[in-house]
Parts: sequence; structure tokens; C-alpha cells
Amino acid sequence: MKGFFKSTAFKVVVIVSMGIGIIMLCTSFSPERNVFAEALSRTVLPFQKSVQSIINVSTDFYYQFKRKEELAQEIDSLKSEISELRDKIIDYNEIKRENARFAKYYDFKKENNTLKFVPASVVGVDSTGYFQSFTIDKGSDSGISKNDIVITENGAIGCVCAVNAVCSKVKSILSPEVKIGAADIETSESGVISGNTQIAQKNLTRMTFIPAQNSMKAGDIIATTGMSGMYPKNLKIGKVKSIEYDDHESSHYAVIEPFETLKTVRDVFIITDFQGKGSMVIS
Amino acid sequence: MNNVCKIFRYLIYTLEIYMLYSLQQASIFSFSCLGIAPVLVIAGFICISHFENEFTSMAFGILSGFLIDLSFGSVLGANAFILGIMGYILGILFSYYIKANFLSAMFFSSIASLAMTFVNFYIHQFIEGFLFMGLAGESHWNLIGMCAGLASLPVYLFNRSISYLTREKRNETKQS
Repeated sequence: MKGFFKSTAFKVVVIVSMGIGIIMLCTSFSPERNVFAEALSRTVLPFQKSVQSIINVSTDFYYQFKRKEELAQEIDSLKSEISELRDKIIDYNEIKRENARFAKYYDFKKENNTLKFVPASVVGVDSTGYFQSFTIDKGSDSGISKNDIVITENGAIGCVCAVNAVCSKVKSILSPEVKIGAADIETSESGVISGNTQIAQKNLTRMTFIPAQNSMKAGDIIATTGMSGMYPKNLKIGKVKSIEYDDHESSHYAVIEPFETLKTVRDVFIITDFQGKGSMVIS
Repeated sequence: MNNVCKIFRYLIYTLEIYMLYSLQQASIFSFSCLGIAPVLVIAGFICISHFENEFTSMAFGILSGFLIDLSFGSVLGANAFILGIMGYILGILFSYYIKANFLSAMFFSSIASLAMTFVNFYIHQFIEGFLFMGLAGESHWNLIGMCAGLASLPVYLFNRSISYLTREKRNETKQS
């Protein structure tokens, strides 16, 4: 033990400890300006800078690839989200259209609360295209029967000519096969709405059997009379475009422009029942 | 030749301590578990002590201590003094009493980290009146030791290879 205190090792330890003690004292007395810390920092700083720069380059390189994967995933998720939103937009537009349709018919039904409606959509058009006849997606299962009148918010457009369980065929007022009793609401002069091949392509129909001495004029509104008991009364059809004379039949007729453009019809209502159905009015 | 190898070895050790310190301070290497991160310079100094005598161990202990003081903001020399003494003692132990292997490196790295934490906790809690880094150590002593022990393994392997490569072989010395 005594030998240790006299040995070189002990002396070295004591000298080193004293040196460190001096450094500690100097640091304590002047903490703002620490020469030893500055010297040590200067020697360490190049290593820290080089290591940090290598790490920065490596992390940038790594995050470049990681970011690509993240961006690809983000793109995929955004694409699926866009697809979902597009479907929702389609549904929204469909609901909006249906809502608008029902809003119009709600007003119409309030005014004609004795009418019973069945809504339907056009699912097919007549391949010949002459008279704008079409097929709807409702049939006898929904209460539709033959000769039921078909209307839109703009007025009557035709009647049911053939019925299946789930679909029905509608002939428009442009077709010569359709015959609907109608009258000028201003002059009360009546006739029969029946189409013509010559003017059907122009979205026009005819009102035949009008009196020779008539006071109808262009612009008059034509509506159903309801006298036959097959169709309700006061369903607007169109307006008078002109009064003509038919040489073959030797009678006058009115060219009627329907309020509805039949080429663009998508949604319709079929009147299945009304007050006075089946009862003929004899004046 | 012997001196050249020695100087080269000490230079490598110095660079190693500096690099470990830089890695310790770098942002990406802030691995921590429940707030505990290993002090890499302690692991480096302990592994150097395995292969060097007591004076060299003390010198590198002092260097490691100064760097720890620099980073932790404490009085310059406090940790240097403690690690210097520790290095001297470990140098003697590994030179004469304990066989150097990776298990001893892990064990003594853990012990040294715990000892440093306790000493700093004692100094700052009772002498200066506030907790320094001992607050985390109070609740996670085992993690401090484990982190330091695990960090010492690659450092030990590196130091062992450097020591073997730069030290002249015993057979050659005997023959000469």
C-alpha cells in the first residue's frame, strides 16, 4: 500500500486530478468565456458537421423513396374517393331531379286531388322514331291499365297502348292512333287530338273535327274535355299554332304545338284513376 | 514500429470517441426507450479500457468525460474526473484480473452508465438542489443499463479488431 502512494501511477493520477480540478475552477469562475470548452468544441465540430451532413443526405434520400410510396398511396386513396364522390354526385343529381319532379306534381296534385298518379321513367323509345312513342318502367303491377293517360309537368303527352306486368308502351299525342277529346279553353270549341305523319317530326299534332265557323286563333290553349270518361278534364295539351284546311277530309283542323318536347321526355306520370272515370258526360 | 502502431491505435480511438459523440448528438440517432438513450462515449471508453493499460484508459475516460460535460452543459471536468478515475480502475482490472470479452464489455458499460447517472443525480439533487438526468433514471434504472450494454457490443468488436491489428504478436516478440 505504501508502495502505491510512492509509485509513478499514483503521482500521475494526482497530477491529472489536479489538472482537471484547475479546469473545473476556471470554468466555475468564468462560465461565459470557457477556453477549454471552446478548444474542445473546435476539435469536435468538424466531426459533428460531417456526420450530420451524411445523415441529412441519407435521410433525404430515404424520405424521397418513402415519400413516393406515400404519394402513390395517397393518389390511390384520392382516386377511390373521387370515384365515390362521382357516384354520390350521380345519386344526388338523380335525387334532385326526382325531387324537382315530385315538387311539380305535388302542386298539380294539390290542385287535382282526385287524381291518382303512378310515376314512371322512360326506358326505351320507338325505333321508328316517327311519333316519339316510348316504353316506361311500370306496368299492371303498379296499377297501370290500357288507355290510361300519360302526363308530364307540362301537360298530357299520350296514353298507354299496351301493358305488361312491369312495363308499358305509350303512344304519344303525335301518333294518329291516339285520339283524345280536347277543347280550346278560351273559345270552348272542341275537337279530337290526333297525330299526323307529316307534322309529327316537327313535334306538332292536329286537332281535328273543329267547327268550320270557329273563333280559334294561334296561341289558344288546348286542354282535355274529360267528356268521354277516359281522361280527366282540364289537362293541358298544347297551344294552337295555326288553323288549316284539309282538302281530303274537307274540314278544318288546328295545328297544335304540345307544351312538352316529346323527344326529351325522361320522367312521366300515369293517371290511373280520377273522379268521374268511366262516366261519359252528355251535354 | 511499436510506437507507430501505438500512436495509430490511439488516433483511431480518439476518432472513434469523436465519432461516437457526433452520432450521439445527431438527430436521427436519438433512439430512446421511455426517455432513455445510451451515452455512446461511455460504451466506447469502456471498450477501449478492455485492451489498453490503466493510463491509456484514464486518458480516454477523461476525454469522454469532457465531451459529456460539453453536451450536458455541466461544469467542465466533473464527468471527466469521474470517468478518469473509472478508467484507471478498469484499466487495472482488465490488465490483471478480468478477461476481456463482449460480456464484460456489456456488463461494465451498463455499470458505468448507471454509476454516472447516480453520481450526476447525487450531485445535482443534493448539491445543486435540482434534478438533472436522474429523473428518468429514478424510474428506469434497468433501461439505462440495458441500453448502454447493447450499444457497447458493436463498439467492442471494432476496438477488438483495431487492437489485434495494430498490436504486435506475442510469438514474434518472443522469437525476437
